[in-house]
Amino acid sequence: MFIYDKKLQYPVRIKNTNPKLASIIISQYGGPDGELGASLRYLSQRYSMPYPELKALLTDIGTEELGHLEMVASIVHQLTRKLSDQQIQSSSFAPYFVDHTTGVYPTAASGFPWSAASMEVKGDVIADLTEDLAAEQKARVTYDNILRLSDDPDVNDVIRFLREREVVHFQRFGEALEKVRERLNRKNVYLTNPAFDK
Amino acid sequence: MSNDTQRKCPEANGTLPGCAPLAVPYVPFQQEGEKRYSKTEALAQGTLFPGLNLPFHLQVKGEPVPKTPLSELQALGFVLTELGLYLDTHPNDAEAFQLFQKYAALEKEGRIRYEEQCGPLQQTSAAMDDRYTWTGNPWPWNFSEEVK
Repeated sequence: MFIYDKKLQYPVRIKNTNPKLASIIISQYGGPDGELGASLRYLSQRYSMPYPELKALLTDIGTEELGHLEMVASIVHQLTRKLSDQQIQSSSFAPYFVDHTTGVYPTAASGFPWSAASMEVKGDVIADLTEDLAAEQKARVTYDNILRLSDDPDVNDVIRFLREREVVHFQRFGEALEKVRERLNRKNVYLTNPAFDK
Repeated sequence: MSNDTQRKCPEANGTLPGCAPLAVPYVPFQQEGEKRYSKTEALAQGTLFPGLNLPFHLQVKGEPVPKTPLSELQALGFVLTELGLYLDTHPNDAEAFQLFQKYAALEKEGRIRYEEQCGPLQQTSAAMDDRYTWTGNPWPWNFSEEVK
């Protein structure tokens, strides 16, 4: 089960509101490479993982991603507090505002709502871990792009932290793949799917 | 772990299996005994390990993480998270496990100190107070200088 800890993993303290920036950052909440997909991907993949260290790693990274989901939501929430009519009307935040006011809704910046089609649970150890490596890279690039688009130091400080976590997770998933290979057929790692074949 | 994780590469480099099978992706294994940041620096950098700190070229320098009871606890918790992931793939690194034990004890003490000062971190800790304090502001997503 999960128990809520009433704190963020890393401080989020955004001094200035900026609805335009919120309409970009929402993508890491509910976009194709966002934290909702990340947490659901890993927490769902763990059930078909046959080895205990992989169950642990997917549980731990999936749980950390839930914390990142909360951090991204906090950024969006703080960027959109106390908006003036003028701020809403003149910004690219208006299309989001008309549907969600200043609530935090899982959608891509492009307006496409969060979709499970943006993630995969293949039920095969090598396929799932390779997907996870790609997922971390795609999230890393999205954070790179946010750093290109944002000039708010309070926001960028948090984005920089989240981006670095993608690099660390990539490393751990890569190590997990190596630990899998140590258990597989030496001549042909694709001889079986250890998540399914006995 | 196998001998592959014995230190044999320069700092911030990892090991790869010799004569590795074709048609599978490889990420070098992080070696044991890598340099580590202090807990405050680890939280600020987003990793405990200088060797894994690979920032983007566009870095806007934010203000340093303010030293508060909360950020102290966040730093302790972060080292535990980072060491936990490391141990998931390096379960036989005794030194890292000792550090994990040390930080787990520090974090436990830190939580008690924090809760005495700032209120419950978990719903059940509210049972320690003389009234039900769980619902109190600030909630973590609120702007900290605004909500009292």
